[in-house]
Amino acid sequence: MQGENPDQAIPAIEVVDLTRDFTVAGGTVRALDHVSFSVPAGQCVAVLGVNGAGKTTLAKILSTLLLPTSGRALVHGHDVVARTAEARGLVSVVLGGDRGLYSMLTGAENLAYCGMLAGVRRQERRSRVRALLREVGLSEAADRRVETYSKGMKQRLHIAAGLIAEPRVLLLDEPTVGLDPNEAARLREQIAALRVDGVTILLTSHYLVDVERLAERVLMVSAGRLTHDMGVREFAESVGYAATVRMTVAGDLPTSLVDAVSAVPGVKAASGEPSPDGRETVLTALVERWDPFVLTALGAALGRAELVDMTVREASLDEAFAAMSEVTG
Amino acid sequence: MSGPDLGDGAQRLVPRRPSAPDAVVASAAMQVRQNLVHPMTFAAGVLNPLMFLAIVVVPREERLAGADVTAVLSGVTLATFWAACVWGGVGILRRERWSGTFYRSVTAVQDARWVLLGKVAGATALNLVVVLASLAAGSLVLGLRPEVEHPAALLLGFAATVVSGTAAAQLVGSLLVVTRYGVALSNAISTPVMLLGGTILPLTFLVPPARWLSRTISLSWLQDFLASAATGPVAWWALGGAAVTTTVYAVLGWRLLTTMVDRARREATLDLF
Repeated sequence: MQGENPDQAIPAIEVVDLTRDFTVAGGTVRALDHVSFSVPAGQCVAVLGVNGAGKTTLAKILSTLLLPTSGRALVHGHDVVARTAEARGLVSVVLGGDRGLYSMLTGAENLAYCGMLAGVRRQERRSRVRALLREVGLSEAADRRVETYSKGMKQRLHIAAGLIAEPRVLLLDEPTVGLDPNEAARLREQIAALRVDGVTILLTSHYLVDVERLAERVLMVSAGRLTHDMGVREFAESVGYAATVRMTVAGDLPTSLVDAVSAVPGVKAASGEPSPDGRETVLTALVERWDPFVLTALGAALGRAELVDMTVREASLDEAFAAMSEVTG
Repeated sequence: MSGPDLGDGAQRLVPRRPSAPDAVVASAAMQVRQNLVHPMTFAAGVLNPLMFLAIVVVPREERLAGADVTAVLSGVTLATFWAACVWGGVGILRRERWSGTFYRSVTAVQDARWVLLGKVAGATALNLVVVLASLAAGSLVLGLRPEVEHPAALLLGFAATVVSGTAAAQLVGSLLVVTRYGVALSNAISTPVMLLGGTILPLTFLVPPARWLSRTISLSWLQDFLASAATGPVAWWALGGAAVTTTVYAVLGWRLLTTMVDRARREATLDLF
């Protein structure tokens, strides 16, 4: 169709029955077990799983660092085994951490070298290096050796190195690990900006705040298998409740009050305990949905009890992840 | 990153393309910058040759002169340069693995062979410059005046030494890419290679089978050629021998790196991240 990019029809990432075995002393370990999924161009997908689940193995195969034992992985239609060179020209992996940079070279030299490796022509490399260093806030440190950089600065340089060739697929492995909250927030903003450019992002992270802020879809991997593939909202709701409501009421806790709160439609469970000073009672209700009807019903259930304070916290992805991990074992 | 407009409003994804000249030049320049601040460059390129020179020259009762000076200097140059090359070739890959940067070369758009060639060539050229500069300074201090019968041939010999050293370092580096014990193995082979190359003892001291074996080492051919360039007549057959052995190293090293890296990708034996 006129104006339509034919390459948009091809998934940015396509994984078909992918399996990877490792030989260890005493046998074989299956790190990926017939995993299949696809990611349309421009989507940001988080890959979650406990340590050893297979997330990094997946990233290694997509970045062409590892060969699969069987199955296929494609980047914009290019098989990472059969058309490795084409795949490498479209994908970039950001590993982060203290390693992966030439510590005796400056930030600018590191970036220029990574640009060369990624196939950026000499003529455009200089301008790309300057622009990227500005974008990640390293202009002033550009001519300093990387060994003098802080952890956050190195992480930003890693991101810049991953972006220098303007990849269409970006693999981010634990991008905010080791960063202070300000640095992590800044990095998330930079990553979020990539989505505007239509870059497809596959993100592995233990920090569910990364998932919450960046991803629109979650893949859960457990023991090498893809166990869940769902939207972030659906993932958050998988915990079984939407929010935790904490109500502090004056005085002792009558059992009937807890029962009344539990009986409110939309409340999954309720419990009560005295406050530390013993003068108040804290009621905690897990609600399946949070809306004005539930608020009104809770108010009615409290009856004449004097409400001192009330907080509402949406179910966190940490709780969802913990619940999912329990289910999958 | 979009590719060329095809005129129908559609844009296609065009992957980046490799460029061998860019890979070689940029990698060489980068490696030179790294090595200039690495202490081993000083140890291998300055201390080693001066130590060798001092051991050979200083304890003598009679002063060395003429062709003997040239023979000593070329021998010391070859021995210390070769050691620096082997260290360099293996050391480059070892440091890349240790610092976690090797994966960049292995997953790059650029062909890893050109990248490694550039790095090794840069390191080798720097090694030779540093060694020659150190020996020139040492010669001045010790009052040594080499006599060279054929200076152009000597320069050609040094150029051949850089090329051969590069090829040998690339081969050794490629062989050891899959092992964690690269340094130990390269140290283990370094001395026998120098022995077979005739830089520790004259080749006439070796038993005949070993002398045949020495001809698989380009160092032995280069030793003969450089010595002949100093004292004449020029042994062009020795340069030919060096060219043949160097070509074998280059072809083997070129094929081996891809084979070894692919094997490591299959067996997950690259400690990359």
